[in-house]
Amino acid sequence: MEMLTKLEELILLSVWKLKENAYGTTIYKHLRQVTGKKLSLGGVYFPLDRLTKKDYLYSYTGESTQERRGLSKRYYRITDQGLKALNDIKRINEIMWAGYPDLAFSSGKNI
Amino acid sequence: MKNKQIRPSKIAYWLLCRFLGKSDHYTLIGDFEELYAEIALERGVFFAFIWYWGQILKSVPAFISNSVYWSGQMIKNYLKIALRNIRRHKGYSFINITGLAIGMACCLLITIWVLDELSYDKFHENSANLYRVEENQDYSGRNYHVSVTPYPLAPVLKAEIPEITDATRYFWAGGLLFRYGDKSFFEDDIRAVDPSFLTMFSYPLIKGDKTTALDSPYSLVINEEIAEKYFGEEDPLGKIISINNEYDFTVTGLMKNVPHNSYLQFSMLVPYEFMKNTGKTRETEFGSNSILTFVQLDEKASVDQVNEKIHGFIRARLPESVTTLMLMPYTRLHLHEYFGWESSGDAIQYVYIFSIIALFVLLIACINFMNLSTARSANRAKEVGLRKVVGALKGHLIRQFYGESVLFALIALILAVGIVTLLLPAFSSVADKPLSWNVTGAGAILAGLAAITLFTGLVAGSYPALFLSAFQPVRVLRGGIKSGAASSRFRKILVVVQFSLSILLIIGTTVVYKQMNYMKNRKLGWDREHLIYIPLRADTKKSYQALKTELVKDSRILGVAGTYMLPTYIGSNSGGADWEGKDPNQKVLIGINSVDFDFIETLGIEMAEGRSFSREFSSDLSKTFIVNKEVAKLMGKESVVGERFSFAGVDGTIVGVMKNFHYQPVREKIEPLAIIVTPEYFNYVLIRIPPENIPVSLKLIENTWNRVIPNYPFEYRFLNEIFDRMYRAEAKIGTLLKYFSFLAVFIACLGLFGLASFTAEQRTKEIGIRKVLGANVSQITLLLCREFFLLVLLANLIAWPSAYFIMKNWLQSYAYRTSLGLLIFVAAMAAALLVALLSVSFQAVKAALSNPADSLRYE
Repeated sequence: MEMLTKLEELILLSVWKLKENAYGTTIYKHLRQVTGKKLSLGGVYFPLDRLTKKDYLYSYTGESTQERRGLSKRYYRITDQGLKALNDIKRINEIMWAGYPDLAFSSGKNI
Repeated sequence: MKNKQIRPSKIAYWLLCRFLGKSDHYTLIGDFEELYAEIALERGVFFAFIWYWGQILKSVPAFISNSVYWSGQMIKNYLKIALRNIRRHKGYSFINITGLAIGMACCLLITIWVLDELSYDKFHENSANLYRVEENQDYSGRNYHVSVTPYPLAPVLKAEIPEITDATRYFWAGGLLFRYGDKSFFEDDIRAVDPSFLTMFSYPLIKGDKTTALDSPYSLVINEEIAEKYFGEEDPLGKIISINNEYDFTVTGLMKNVPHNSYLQFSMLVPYEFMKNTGKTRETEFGSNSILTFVQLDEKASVDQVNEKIHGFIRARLPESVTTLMLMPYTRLHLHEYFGWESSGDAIQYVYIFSIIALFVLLIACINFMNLSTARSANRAKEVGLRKVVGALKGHLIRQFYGESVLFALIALILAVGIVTLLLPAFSSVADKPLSWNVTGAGAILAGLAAITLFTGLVAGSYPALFLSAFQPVRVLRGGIKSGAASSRFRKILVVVQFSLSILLIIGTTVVYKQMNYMKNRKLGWDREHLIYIPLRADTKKSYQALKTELVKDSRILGVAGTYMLPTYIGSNSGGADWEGKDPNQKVLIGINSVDFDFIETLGIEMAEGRSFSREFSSDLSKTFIVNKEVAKLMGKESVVGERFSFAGVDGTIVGVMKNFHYQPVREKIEPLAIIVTPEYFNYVLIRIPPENIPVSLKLIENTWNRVIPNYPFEYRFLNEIFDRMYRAEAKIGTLLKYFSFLAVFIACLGLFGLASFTAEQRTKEIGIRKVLGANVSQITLLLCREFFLLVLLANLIAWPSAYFIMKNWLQSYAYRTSLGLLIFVAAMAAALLVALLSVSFQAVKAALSNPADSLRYE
């Protein structure tokens, strides 16, 4: 399995979560909301392109709105391969994190 | 509408468009607009504006990496196309890349050699302030230059000239018999120097103190090789070596082996004091010149001023002297050293010749590369058309073509570096010195070559990049674009230039070879075959007569004669000869050699007049002279036999005149020479043996030696060996020249071959039609060859005059030289035409034999 970067993983998940409404702006807003980090809008396109190239996503041109000054949206949808990749990641993460206590209030020394 | 007012600034918008390399950047801008509108509604236009700008600035890195990624994809595509091109046109690509690679490798090898030549003696810390004291001797209007100086000169110079901070003498300390434990060898490679030698020059000591190492007269500095030979792994410092069974020397310094790029070469140093104690030096004589003198000037001193001060140094002590002194910068010695009557400048000449050749070969290879690339690109008009149809812009095509030819050139460069690395060991043995990449300046040369590569690639790519990319796709795809007449004329000019250079090299090489053969085969005036010599070292001199008496008893020994210097190089000479009727103002320099009675017979020198030395005349022992014809000419008399001749402190008479014979390398003119019988000076025994049964004769001599002189080992050499060694420099240069000219011609032919096949391809249809109309194979072959034939002829016309002047000039430095016959030029032309024809005719015949039905069926 090809390893994805964390950002790619998050974007892939966002696209899946957003279902029919996944395009640049919404993905960006979702990411910012979840991570709480100040991302750059431009920063999401590169991973999106790469994921598309890897066939984890596919894209199609959608409608336009007035806010967009008539420029159309580009929607992204997850492919079966993308889903499979997500499943793999989840599985690996679960294995890796298994047995790890929630350390929110304990210091490392006590383990 | 409210939305109308909230528009991000135009500049920001433009920037966004710039940064987005992707074709669907409108959707991205749409995303930006949407967010902008949202924020503007929520928090106001101003805030949204700030946000928009902030986003753009923040996005820059991501966008840049994005566009790099995509152009990476494009470059990958270009690379793929380039590799496909290489694969599809294997022949062309091979010729093109190897041609350039070989050319560059050749150029690199030569450059390494040249850099090595230039690196001589630059490693001394004081190299800028070191000088050798040399002499000009003025003989009746002719200036004789020598590098040897009187024994007492160095200390006197140091004492009297304040600018000279240090001075040392340097001379061969002779073959000494070394003994350490049970190891005993004759050592030749020893020099006697003053203690300051080690501080003036940078020959670093691994062990020992360079300031005191040579202070005691019986101290010895050896190099690693000698240390290994005598002491193996042991620490050599403080070891005692017995010399000539007489002196005990202490090793006081272990020095690194002298690097090959040092003018001075030696493996051991002994103090000058030791030589003085043995009485071998002439401490008060300012009139005789035997040793080298090196001085170190103060950093601030002016060489001109010092030169002025030392100019009359000898004359101030010896008013009748013809000698003036001058300083020669030490770092110039390797390349600019000269002796004798004129300065011809040997080594530097070869540096020039080879630099020019390197440039030629590189030029030929580059021309070739451009030529072929240009020729081939015409076939790619269709590719250009198609690329344009599917959306390539002119800029893309320019980038693609430039990139491709630069890539080719770079592959060639990498290959060249590989070839050079592989060939360096072989090249080192041909060039007779260890050469490697770490010569000073190699990095700069490589960088320079990379620049040349880039330039070649760019020029080669220019035609397709700039000309083809401007084609209208419709016209190209419909057919009918032919490569322009201008470019084919350009290519023809390149071929002519290429072949002119090749022919120049062929002629140059031939002349150098002819001159070398001329010198090697020139009649010396004596017979150098089957002649051996034995050095008479140390005590063995005393046993010379006994040895000779024993040897001549055997009829298998044809001649035995002692001599002061070997007849291959008689280097001693003296002024102050006098005879009756000599113009008192005429100053002459005459060579002198001390010989035994049978010298003339043993060597086989022919007499022109008078008699040879004979024991029957008691006066022949150190009272009579035999001279060569040059002396007779100098004296200006009809017959000089019986004339009084006062020379070298002997007031004698001339009993015979020898025909002129070569007693120095053949490149030197035969100068006046006188010989005299004085057995106390013999350094060598010459022995002539019969041509048959050489091992038996050698065994006989060895047995005799061991019987007469049992305590010294027997060693001998053939005179022919020395003779060959004298021409080693020339032979080496000749070999190098041969290889490089061959390569140059080879590369030029590769180019011609490729070009011919291209022409044949271009004219496929013409050939088809001609065949249909009844032309036969030979006519078509002729048609295709004629053009190249004419070009090569033209190249000959250009090359001949330049070759004539260059080679004429080169031959001037040889006193006896071969002629520059027309034959060489005609032969070079024939050779050039032949190789050109061979490389062209293959393609021509192939084209002529092709079936017209194949070439015409697409019409």
